[in-house]
Amino acid sequence: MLVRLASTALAAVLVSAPAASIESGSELLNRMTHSHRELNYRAIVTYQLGEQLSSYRITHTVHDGKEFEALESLDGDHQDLVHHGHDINCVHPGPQLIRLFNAEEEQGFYRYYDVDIVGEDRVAGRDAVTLSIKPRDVYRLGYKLSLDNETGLLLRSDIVNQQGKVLERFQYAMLDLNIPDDELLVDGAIEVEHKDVSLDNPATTQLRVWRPDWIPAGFTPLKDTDDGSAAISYTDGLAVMSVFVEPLVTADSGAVAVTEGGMRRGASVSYTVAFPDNGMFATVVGEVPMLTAKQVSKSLSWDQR
Amino acid sequence: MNDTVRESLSALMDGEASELELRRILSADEKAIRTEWADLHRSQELLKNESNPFIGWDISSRVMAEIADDELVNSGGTGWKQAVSGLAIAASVAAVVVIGSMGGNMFGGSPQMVAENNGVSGRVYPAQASAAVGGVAVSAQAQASPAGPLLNNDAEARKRFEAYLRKHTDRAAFNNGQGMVSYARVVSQESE
Repeated sequence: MLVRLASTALAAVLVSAPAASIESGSELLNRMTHSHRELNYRAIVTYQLGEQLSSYRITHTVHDGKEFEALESLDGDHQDLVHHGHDINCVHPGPQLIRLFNAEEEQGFYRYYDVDIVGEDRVAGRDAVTLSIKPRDVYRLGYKLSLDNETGLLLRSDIVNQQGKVLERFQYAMLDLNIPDDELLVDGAIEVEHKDVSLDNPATTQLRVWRPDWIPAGFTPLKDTDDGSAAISYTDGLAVMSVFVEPLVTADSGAVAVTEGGMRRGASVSYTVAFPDNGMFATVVGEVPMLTAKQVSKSLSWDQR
Repeated sequence: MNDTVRESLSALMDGEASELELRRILSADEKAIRTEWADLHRSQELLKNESNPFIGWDISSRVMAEIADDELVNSGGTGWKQAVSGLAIAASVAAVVVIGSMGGNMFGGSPQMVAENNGVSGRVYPAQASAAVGGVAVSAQAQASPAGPLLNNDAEARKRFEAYLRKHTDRAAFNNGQGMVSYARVVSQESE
């Protein structure tokens, strides 16, 4: 009996091993970054934060080369988010950082993370492959990602801190890939804005007189920043952090009470620092360790004028 | 780094540093000291013909990151902690016991916040206990949170955090490989 069990297990391994080895971790990751934008699907996703669990219905379609997305909260207050008309060919730096490099060359993204295929899994009734992504320095978080074998869709994602504790978890409970591409002609929901502003625009670059003197290696500024004067975002391919700067005193609300310190919620943290000499305060928000948010916010400097 | 510090460091390595030399090292530039310390060890090992597999390791940044994280988690109420220890020094032992036992709940917000604050009350007790017997409350306070307090209970800061997180997610969703799902972070927060 035992022998038979063992041999079936062995056979299973032999059969499945080639399937897993066809794609390397970097190929899988690369597939993950675009599959969620290119496919038509509807899914139920749970989001877990400590003891708190919430669920969402997510729908994504591509119609005439444009993406349509909706996220609908299924418990508590009814909340919808839609996002439509995003050009499918619009390239963003995050996925690009993963696409342009591969693990063997240890360049770009792969200089900062160790990516390993750790095994197979079953999520939302689908076969998945699990990747472990470990940061090589202290300035980013770790990830455990389960990707759909067939499509590369991210079915489960754990974000873990440097000590290995899970900070938040997304997990698909149901995935339907057979939905019509004109499914999402929703109206009456909040639109998620996405403006393309080139960094070359002199008006915006002139406005921004501040910059962080330090960001962790491997983080690249994003070009799709909506308002060049008040914010800038950086990504290393998986982690994203944004720096926001606001005046300490405004005409309509008077002086803002700013206390230096951090906030934490799931994998997201923020760290706020006041710069009284410049009359401004800065907040770094992102899915990064508190140490990173703190060091970046403290490193801000202003152009001398 | 000047030669005096270098000599002091060399003395420390031979176990012969005086108190003055130790102070000199502690007040010198941290990074240069670490490099020099590693170099000294390397050359000594060469001389002795030994090899040490850990020689290239500098775990100090990792240790500092852990400390920063730990202290942030544990530092929800630096302000009132200081006030409490002030009371303790004024020998109001009773007041300390009462406030101390009310612990994190007194300032807790949502259940999640309370859970985070429990770490605070856990840390406060030893400092207060030593203050009550005329001990070292001040030095115990001195180690509180170089990373700054967690502002989770500050309503203004929380509102700002939510607004920023929303804007941040608008950018993050296109770049973190997760897409629209990232908005669950924002929506779940608003419905709290």
